[in-house]
Amino acid sequence: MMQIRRMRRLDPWLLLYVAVLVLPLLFGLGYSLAYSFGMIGLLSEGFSLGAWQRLFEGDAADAFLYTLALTFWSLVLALVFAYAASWAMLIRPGAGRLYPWLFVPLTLAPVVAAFAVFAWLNPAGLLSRLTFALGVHDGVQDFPRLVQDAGSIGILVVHTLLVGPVLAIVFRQQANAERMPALRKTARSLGASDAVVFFRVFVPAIWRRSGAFVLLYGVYLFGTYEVPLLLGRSQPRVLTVYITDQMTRFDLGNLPLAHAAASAYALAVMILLLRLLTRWNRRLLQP
Amino acid sequence: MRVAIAFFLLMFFACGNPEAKPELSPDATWEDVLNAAEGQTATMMMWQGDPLINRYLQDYVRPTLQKRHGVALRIVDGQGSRIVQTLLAEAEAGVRRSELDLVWINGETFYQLRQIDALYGPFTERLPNAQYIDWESPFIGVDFQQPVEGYECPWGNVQMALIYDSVDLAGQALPQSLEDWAAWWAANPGRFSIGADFTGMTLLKAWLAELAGSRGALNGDFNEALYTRTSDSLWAFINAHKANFWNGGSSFPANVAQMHQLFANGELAFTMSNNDAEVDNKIRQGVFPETARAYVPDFGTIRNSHYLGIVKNGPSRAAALVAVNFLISPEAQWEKMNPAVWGDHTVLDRSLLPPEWQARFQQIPGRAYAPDRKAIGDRAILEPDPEYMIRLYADFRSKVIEQ
Repeated sequence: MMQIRRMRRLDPWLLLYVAVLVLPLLFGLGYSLAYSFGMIGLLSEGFSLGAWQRLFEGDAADAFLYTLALTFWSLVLALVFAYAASWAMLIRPGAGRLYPWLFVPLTLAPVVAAFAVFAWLNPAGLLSRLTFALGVHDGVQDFPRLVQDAGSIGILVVHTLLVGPVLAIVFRQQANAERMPALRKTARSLGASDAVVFFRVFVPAIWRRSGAFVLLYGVYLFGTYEVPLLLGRSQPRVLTVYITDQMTRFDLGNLPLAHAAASAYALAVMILLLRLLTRWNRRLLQP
Repeated sequence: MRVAIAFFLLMFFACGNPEAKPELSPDATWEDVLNAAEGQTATMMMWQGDPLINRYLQDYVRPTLQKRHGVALRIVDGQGSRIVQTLLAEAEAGVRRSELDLVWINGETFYQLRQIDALYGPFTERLPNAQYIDWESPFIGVDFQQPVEGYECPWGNVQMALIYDSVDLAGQALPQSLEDWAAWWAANPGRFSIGADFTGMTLLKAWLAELAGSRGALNGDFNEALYTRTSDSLWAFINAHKANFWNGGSSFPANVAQMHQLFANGELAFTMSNNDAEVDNKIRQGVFPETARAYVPDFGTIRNSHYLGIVKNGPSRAAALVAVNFLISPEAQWEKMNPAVWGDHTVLDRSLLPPEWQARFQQIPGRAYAPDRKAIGDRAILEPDPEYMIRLYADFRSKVIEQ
């Protein structure tokens, strides 16, 4: 009887959300898993672990590690930018004018930002032409490679441009919510330097409130596709590019491998999210 | 709650799978096909990356088909893998009425679509204009060593060519053999690359044939021992020199569009195309400099045809048949062959055409920058068995890119 009452109290909109968004996603994951084990598919020859074995033998591991490293460094650079910008807006009276400009990158789609950076940084791009005109180098061959490069510089620039300002906006809001100007004033009056306030008060306080949000952006960067596709090298590739490549190969026998990689990616993200966010900030998962 | 239920009902009915229209009777005359096609819309999926090709389809083919036969042609963007993924997904979902009627394909996609039984056929014998097709040519009647058997209709015929800037390479001999290439790379580091796509693999097939001993060495069924022996030599050759490739050989252009861009920027000294006449198109479009030229090296390049396939579960079969018949008509092929329009070589045997059309074909303006078609004919290599392509794709990644 209790259960019936509880069911009656279920929000129909929540049911609709689960039915329209959650269930199709889970169905998609189940479909990919079944495909990866050879249980479905037009060319399926029955249950097989072959695709999963190939996943660990090929360059999928390289793709996973590269994606992880790229996500980590993108987040580090975005955090450095966001902390610096939000701190500057706190301590420098004129720096508040920066705030409206932080919204500009939000208007850019990732692919547009990638094209813009490519147009600037490729060896025949605007920066190269400008520096050539100034006599800094002798032509295309002399210009350092800043896109499709070993250091993934182009990708990191775009990720920092896209994510850094968003985090800076959030950090500024959180700083105000934490009454950071008053805290800083108090700390300063007790003899603390700005460096001490920044590292001992500002950074941990903002991180405590925004860490979960930053990690969610990490998940977003982990799954980014267009930016590494345009600005990345042939090898290593990010996971999403690797999966798409397997999915569209000439050899249709690669399809189970593509589904295995996609399933592994989805499961890894789900487990990571649940583990990290429940540990990090239980409040985020509570209504 | 009522809203939720209503939404579910809407979704349920929206996901319905209407039955395909009954097939045209095998005994239907061409007159019956024309009558059935009138008022139908044929959806064609094709690559739309070239403005000249798009203009040919949009400004010439579509209005002519509509005016003469009452057939509307709806063109949607997609090539190769997109076509295969669409039809594969439909087949796996049990969809009996495809969203496509007609697809523009090459041998690679034909092989995949035959694997999943997505093509209607044989149908070419039903087309009145198929009588003019040069079926005897091994570059037309056979696709990737597979007889087309009426499951696709030839539309155009091309041969791979390398494109260079005659001013940039003034005074330099163009590489004609693998030894020439090795010397050229050493003298011009960073100015050559191979696209990690169909076009790049097509060049590798020509090099593979060269290493196998002759232009016809790869003909016939896939030969594992031959492939292993020659591909080992090929990878060793490329890896020995790839430090002199673009970007130090640490990265390769993803596709031919990127190759063209790098060539136009001056980063690469060579780009390549599966269409020997593309250099004319690209100069006319202002993409390449007017000093760009194309050539076919002595070791030869792959010549192949591109085709039109009719989707097995396409809803407008009659319209698709009428559209294909028009596209292979002397009139449409003549229009397409004009370098100012597209420059795609015809698949028709001119000796079979009515005299007035033979005369018109002879008067097509010549190519301005592309190599003479007859002159490169003796350096044409047949597409080898599809397995060569499958293996080259996989091995180029694992044995060159990832090294």
